[in-house]
Amino acid sequence: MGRYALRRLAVAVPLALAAATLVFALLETAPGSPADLWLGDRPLPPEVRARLEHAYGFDRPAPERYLRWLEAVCLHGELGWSSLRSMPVSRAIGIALPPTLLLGGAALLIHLALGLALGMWSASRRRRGREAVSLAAVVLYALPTFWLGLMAILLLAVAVPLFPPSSMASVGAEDWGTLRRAADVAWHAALPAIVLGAGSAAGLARFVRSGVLESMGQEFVRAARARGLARRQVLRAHVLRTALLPVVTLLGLSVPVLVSGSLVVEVVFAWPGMGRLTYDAIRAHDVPLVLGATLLATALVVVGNLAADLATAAVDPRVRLGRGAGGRT
Amino acid sequence: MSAHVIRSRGASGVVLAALALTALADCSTGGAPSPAPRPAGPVAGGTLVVGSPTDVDSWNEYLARQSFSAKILGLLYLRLAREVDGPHGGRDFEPGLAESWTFSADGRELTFRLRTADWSDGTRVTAEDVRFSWRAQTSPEVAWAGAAAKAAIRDVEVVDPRTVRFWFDRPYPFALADAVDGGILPEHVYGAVPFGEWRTHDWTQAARVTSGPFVLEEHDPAAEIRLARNPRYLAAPLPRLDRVVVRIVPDMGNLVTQTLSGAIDLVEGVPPRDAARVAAAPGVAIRAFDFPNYDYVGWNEERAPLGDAEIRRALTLAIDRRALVDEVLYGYGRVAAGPIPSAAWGFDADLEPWPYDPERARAILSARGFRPRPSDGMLERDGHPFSITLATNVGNEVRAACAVKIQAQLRRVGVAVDVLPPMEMRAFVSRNMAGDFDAYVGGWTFTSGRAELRTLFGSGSIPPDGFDVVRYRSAEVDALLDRADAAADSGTLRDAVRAVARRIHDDQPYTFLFETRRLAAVRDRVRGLRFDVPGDSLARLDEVWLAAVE
Repeated sequence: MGRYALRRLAVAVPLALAAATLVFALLETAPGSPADLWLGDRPLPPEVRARLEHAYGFDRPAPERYLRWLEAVCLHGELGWSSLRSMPVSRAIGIALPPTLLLGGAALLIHLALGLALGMWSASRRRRGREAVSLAAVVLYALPTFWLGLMAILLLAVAVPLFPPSSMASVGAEDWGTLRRAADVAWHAALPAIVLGAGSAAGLARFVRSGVLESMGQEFVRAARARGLARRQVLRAHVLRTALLPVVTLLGLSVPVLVSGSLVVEVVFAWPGMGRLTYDAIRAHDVPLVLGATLLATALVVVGNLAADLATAAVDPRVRLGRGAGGRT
Repeated sequence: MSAHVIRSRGASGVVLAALALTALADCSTGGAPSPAPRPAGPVAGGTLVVGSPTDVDSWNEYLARQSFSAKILGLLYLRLAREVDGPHGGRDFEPGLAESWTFSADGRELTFRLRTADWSDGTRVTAEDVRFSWRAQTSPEVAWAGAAAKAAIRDVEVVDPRTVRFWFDRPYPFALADAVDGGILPEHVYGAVPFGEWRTHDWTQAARVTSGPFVLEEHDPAAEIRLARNPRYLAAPLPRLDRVVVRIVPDMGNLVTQTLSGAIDLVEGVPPRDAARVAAAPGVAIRAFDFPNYDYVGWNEERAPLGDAEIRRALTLAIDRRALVDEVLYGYGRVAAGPIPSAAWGFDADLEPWPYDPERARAILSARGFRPRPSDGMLERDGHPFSITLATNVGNEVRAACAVKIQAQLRRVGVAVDVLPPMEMRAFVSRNMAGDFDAYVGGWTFTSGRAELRTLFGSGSIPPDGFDVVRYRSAEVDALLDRADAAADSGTLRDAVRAVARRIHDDQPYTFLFETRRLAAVRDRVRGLRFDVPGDSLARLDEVWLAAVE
């Protein structure tokens, strides 16, 4: 399993570079100069504009700029300089990562708790109850996150001001004690985490529900019931274990989203994380920052997939990993 | 209007006086007075919370690109002097780091006497800092976007620690304005980094050594900026505020909501459609102020029949610009007459916008050979329909709304307009520069307070040599621009630029739509806020104080 994991991780390097190359090519297909984005409605004399383009390297051919970036990454381990944040890309990512991990972690907990609870509850109901929950889940899943976010702000931050409408901390929080500051951050994270977690929980609930229903009809469940086990005991000891196998895979696949951040939620709630960083970088045509975020996201997809495979192998005895095992069964 | 206005002495005193008295009719700044009762007097202390959709992109003024960055940095680094709204709608200068200034008799030397001032770390501000700042402003390695203002400055000489002299290639009316453009940086901090390394240096620490009313306390990127009072500010006991906190929230709707709920005290850039809602809310007022800008429709002169000035005038007559101001800007604007906005230097109040006159437009188009098709009434000439495409950039809902309304208005005179989906800014600019368009809705903002004329309308400025994207060519305009460039006094310059404006008004390479007024939502507790520094709504934060009304 160790060799299998190493092999998968080694694949991450060329994969991430390939993704970055593709993203660079896409960014370069946009016509015009990035200086146009910077200058907006300000007309600059041509000589000043030319000087600016030269100083920032916009007048160099795209392949040359790409090779310079690649050289810095591969030979020096540097991701370049972010003109958007005026700091090294690695530092910009380092600043944006903790807020995203916090929000993503909280959202994941809500996602799991709500998804599991709803899925199991609906599976244990009679047909009408199941359909109602299923319909609600579909509606929730289909709602655009930005709309859900705006409605949450309108209802829970404006109409009934239970939560702050945006940002990560209150004004003046830096002067407070650690506990009060932690509580303040949790209060600010609650609404975006609910929006992020609840929206995706609907999808998980449908997975759990179908998994539980499928397992309930299996022979081993009937055998357990025939042996005299209580329904709840059967559910907990046999059905859930089988039904939750796909959930383990889903969790692994959630890792990239957890770390890359939710672009929409972070923008709507002014959360200073990776999603917003990437969004701002694309809008400002900050190529090194976009490429840095792409490298991170690609690496995380590989790691997340690997984690899903390893976790599935750990909990499902039918799955064998490694050479000759035939992969997942 | 500040009571502390110092006028320069010597030969240029006349120039400055003329500048100050230049009429800028209807260029009112500031808005309706706050409805809340005025307390007894200013009090010190408190934290002002400002909302902004954009963050500071660099703590070095000469690398920053966002206009919001320039406003925040303006609170940290003083200029030698500051251009402010003057009496009778003109412009004036008030002292900054310099207490006085004098021009030589030939107008080629400008000598500043510095005030006794300290940087926030206790180091004395000297003439060496001024010379260092000029070197940074003009360094090709730094590539400051405002460097054009320094083009006529040949050298900056340190006469003594408190006296600095600017040497100009030639005398010209904007010598003082150009000399004082840009904040003065502390050489002992910024000089430690070679210019070639400026673009990849983190300037956050440097912004803690300032001469302005505030120093940078903390910057959480994309979240919050905290500025603290600079106890060594030369205008002590100002600033009155202990702290200014800037909350970065990318969505303007969210910012407005937070202002209404009391979480934010001041936010600039409120969309006109939200103004009535904000003004009706308790505890908040809308303040409107002018800045030099206009929106326009650019007509491609290389696309028939738009190369004909008569046809362009007909199109202008067919567009109801007053209705656009009322319906799209909700009244927060004015119909633009020509290429010099009312808040810019040289504005000609006698130049009237073309009226809305669709009948006259039809008559002109008919005289030019266009006849309505019997089937639908749309115009055609020699079997070719009068049909144009109209584009604009994405992210500007005012321009998108204008495009749709212009489409409907031109249809009424028989001109078919195909409104294209809004384009990403780079693609939009690239397409325009290549001349691949019929017409577009665009806009210009003149942060220097001077309308660009040569860059936009000179025959030598057709892309890639400038921004004459509509391909306008006029030998008369070129000659007038040459006269303006050679002008040594403001009277000659004013006459020349007004003549340019009149010619352009006649030729209508653009249909000038409107000038937008900028809107700020301000909580009632915010007192002493003035908007008399062109283009900088935060410039007077040192005088602001907070009343206990909430």
